[in-house]
Amino acid sequence: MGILSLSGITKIYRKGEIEVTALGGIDLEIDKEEFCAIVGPSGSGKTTLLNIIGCLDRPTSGIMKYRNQELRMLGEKELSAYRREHVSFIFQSYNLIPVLTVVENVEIPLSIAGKLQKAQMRRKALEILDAVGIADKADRFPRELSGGQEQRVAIARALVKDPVVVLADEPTANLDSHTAEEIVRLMKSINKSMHTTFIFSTHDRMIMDEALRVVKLHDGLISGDERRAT
Amino acid sequence: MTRVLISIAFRNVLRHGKRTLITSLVLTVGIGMFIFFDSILAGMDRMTIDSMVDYTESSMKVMTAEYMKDSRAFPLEYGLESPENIMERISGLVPGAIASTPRTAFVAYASNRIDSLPVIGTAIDPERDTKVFKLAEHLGEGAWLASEPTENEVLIGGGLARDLGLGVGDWLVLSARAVDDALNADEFRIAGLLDVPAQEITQSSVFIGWAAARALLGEDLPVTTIAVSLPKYGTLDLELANSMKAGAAVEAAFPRVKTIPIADAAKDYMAMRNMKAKYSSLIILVVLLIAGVGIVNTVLMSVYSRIREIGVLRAYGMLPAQIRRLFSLEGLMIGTIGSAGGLLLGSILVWWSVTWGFPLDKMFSGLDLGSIPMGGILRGEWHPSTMAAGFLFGVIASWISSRIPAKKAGKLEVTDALHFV
Repeated sequence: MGILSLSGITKIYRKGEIEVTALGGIDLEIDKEEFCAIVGPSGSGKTTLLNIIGCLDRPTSGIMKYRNQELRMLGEKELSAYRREHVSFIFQSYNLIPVLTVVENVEIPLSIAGKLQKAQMRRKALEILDAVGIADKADRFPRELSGGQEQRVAIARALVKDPVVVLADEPTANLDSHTAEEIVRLMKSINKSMHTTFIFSTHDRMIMDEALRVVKLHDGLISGDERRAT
Repeated sequence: MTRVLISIAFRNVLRHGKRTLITSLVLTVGIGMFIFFDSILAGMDRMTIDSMVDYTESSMKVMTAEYMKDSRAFPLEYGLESPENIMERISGLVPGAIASTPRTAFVAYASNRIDSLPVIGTAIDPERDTKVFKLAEHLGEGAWLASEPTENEVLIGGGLARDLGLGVGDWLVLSARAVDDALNADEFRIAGLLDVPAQEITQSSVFIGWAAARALLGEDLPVTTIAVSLPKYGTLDLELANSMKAGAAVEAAFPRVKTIPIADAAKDYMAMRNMKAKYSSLIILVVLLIAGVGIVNTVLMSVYSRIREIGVLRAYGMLPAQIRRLFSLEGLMIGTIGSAGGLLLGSILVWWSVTWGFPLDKMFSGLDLGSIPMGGILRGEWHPSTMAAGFLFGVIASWISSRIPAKKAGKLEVTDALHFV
């Protein structure tokens, strides 16, 4: 039994009279500690699927369960709590908060969760920055970092609260190929060492090759699901 | 959580320094000007009331009830019984009473033998009068009335002298109805000209000593009014309240007399002043409205420039209410900076106006401003309550204004915010 289970998930957007089907009925099971790539051409529904898994968006129909709990019926507060405690996000354009330093950016999820004291949060943020190899930049501001460094900070921010699942939407799209490779290797090593489930979208062949499972999407439907040996 | 919200809000306010500065500057100038104008208006009130106290009304007037009813006609038949006794007892009845002086006003005509003009004559005790009124300090030319004059002498307003073409040392014919209703006239040498910042004195007043007045109007000329001088307090309201208390004390001790404290004498002016205060409240409302629009605009710009940031915070589990609080805090901070600036600017301007003031004599020299008292230095007054109200209104209005864009930020869909370009 996987930690995430999607059954018959559809997402239809209405633009006036026109209906656009982003997801046409997705059945998907994600196991714990998976390192899974969602691939497909632009408009195939990768981002929509990640948004639904992360409870940033609601499906039009279908059932989604997290650890056997149905998520569709949850209210806004419960969904916020789910995002606060169980999932984390890495974005294509990093989305760091420019007025906060690196370490303060990493502390944000902990502050929102509100479970640790200030000193504990700082210690944890520094530990995770060390793990992603950027502890020496802790007091810098995002504008002082390179793209690769910013994405490392974004990864640290995603990992600091020990999430079960990390969702990454095109995490390497804004990086050069060398840095992109470094970032994916970093994600993979964290997947192994911290047992965190990674689900990320990409259309970069080299990144796909690093994935241990590749789910192919086409026109909102799964057109392939390939598992690879570690 | 609150600590993080404050930290993000504060740093954003500092990060967009120019935007913050421009928005808060509107508040600073508005609140600063409100505090300053309120201080100057209070100074003008003080000046006007002081002018009434020092030149025409005194702090409190004592008279009979009958005289009070008909006081505009200056009747001579309603004199006070034992005025000396009343004056003696006033210092005991009214704590802090400085001095009192007997006066009797009468209707008369002043003539240069060719033309004559209606005037209000007033019989005064030259020595005592200077302890209650400040007319002696405003002698344009000549000298104050002698205590024991060797000949008939008068003080007249400088404007009246000019109208009649007379000067110091010239003779003036004064005619008036005596106590027995006979029409009497006599000649008086002009001892001095009064240039007082009160038109009724300068244009139509004649002052004569009691001996000369009794010679003109009859030996049984009564004292119709006692003018009393009371201490001046830091605030006008306190001074007016004190005059009411003094009036009540005298009326209680002398059931047959009535008093007109300055608070009553200035009733019409105070009604006008209250109306003026309402208009000055309108000014602060307009200022706050303008500043409010500025703050809505600034926070809205902040929301639009940080939509993705909002998306990230929401994705990490921040609630819409916390997002609203974040932007409200930014508005509150801009409002606090602007209002603190306004308080500082207002304080500097009030300090300047209290310390140095506006020299009205120099500013309006040569201008005929009618009955408006335009002499001396117009100084502002410290009004801590107005200053605190200006600051608080600024902060509260900013907070309320920022609620509009903050609400918008809280309503953003997470997915829309994350993919906003």
